[in-house]
Amino acid sequence: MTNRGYLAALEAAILAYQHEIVRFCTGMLGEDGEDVAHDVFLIAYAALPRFRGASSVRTWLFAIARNHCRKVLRDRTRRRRNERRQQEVTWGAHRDPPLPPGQETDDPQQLVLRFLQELPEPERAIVLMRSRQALSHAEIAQALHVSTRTVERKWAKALHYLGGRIKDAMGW
Amino acid sequence: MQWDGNNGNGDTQRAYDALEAFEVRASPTFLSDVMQAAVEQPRRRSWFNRLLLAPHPWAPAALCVVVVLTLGSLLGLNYIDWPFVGKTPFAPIAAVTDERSGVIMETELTTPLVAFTAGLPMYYALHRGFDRAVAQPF
Repeated sequence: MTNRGYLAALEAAILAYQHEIVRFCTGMLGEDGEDVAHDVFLIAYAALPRFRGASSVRTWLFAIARNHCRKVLRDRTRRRRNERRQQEVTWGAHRDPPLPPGQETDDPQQLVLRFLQELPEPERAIVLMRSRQALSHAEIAQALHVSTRTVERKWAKALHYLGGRIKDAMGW
Repeated sequence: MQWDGNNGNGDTQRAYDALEAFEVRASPTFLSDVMQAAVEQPRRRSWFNRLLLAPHPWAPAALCVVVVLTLGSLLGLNYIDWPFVGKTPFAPIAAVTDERSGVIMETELTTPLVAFTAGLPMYYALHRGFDRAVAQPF
């Protein structure tokens, strides 16, 4: 495939999956995930020559998005740890981290986003991949390199947890 | 509430509905932004590909020879005394000669095997490298 062919494939993938990938990245990171989704599509573009069609394009894109979000989360944790150390040196006192976005809101979207951040990373990825019928259990298992049974178990567990949190917060 | 995954059965539908309602959409300029970045960014190549796509067309072949010769030398396969040439670091078929008489006592296929083993993946990579260079000239 020529370079123009790869660009056409990228355009088709963006048109088909941009909203799903932006939603996934936002849910994974707890804030606007558009910049990260931007990088996800560029990574996919660079990896297009190696795509052999073993899975669907959607599954492949979700797998790339999940790996990239993990990397962003790792970098963020490291940066925050360094900042905290720096702050301790500068101010000589421990301070609580700032409240995450959505802490003081009743907006259901923000609450869901906040509760998603309370889930362990694999469960969060599974919930975001599975909700709105984006991927089947089998496709998620393929993307995350785990068994279908593990996906089903974690999906059910995560739903129970989120349901409890929403009930407590909103009284639904 | 801490994450333990045991929060009662009736919560599932509630969470499902909330997740269905959770919607984030890409901005209208998302497509054009990504496409522009894709056009502008040079395609990433692995160090192996960059090495194989070196400016001189014979560079990969030279590398292949170097690898084979190095492996041959490292494995001590330089003990054939060729007429007019003397000892060479690479022999098509290595032979063990008797030190006093110079008679070839036995031959072995180690050198060709080493050359083949090292050369085959190199040839494959080389072939693919050139194939890519021709198919996708960036």
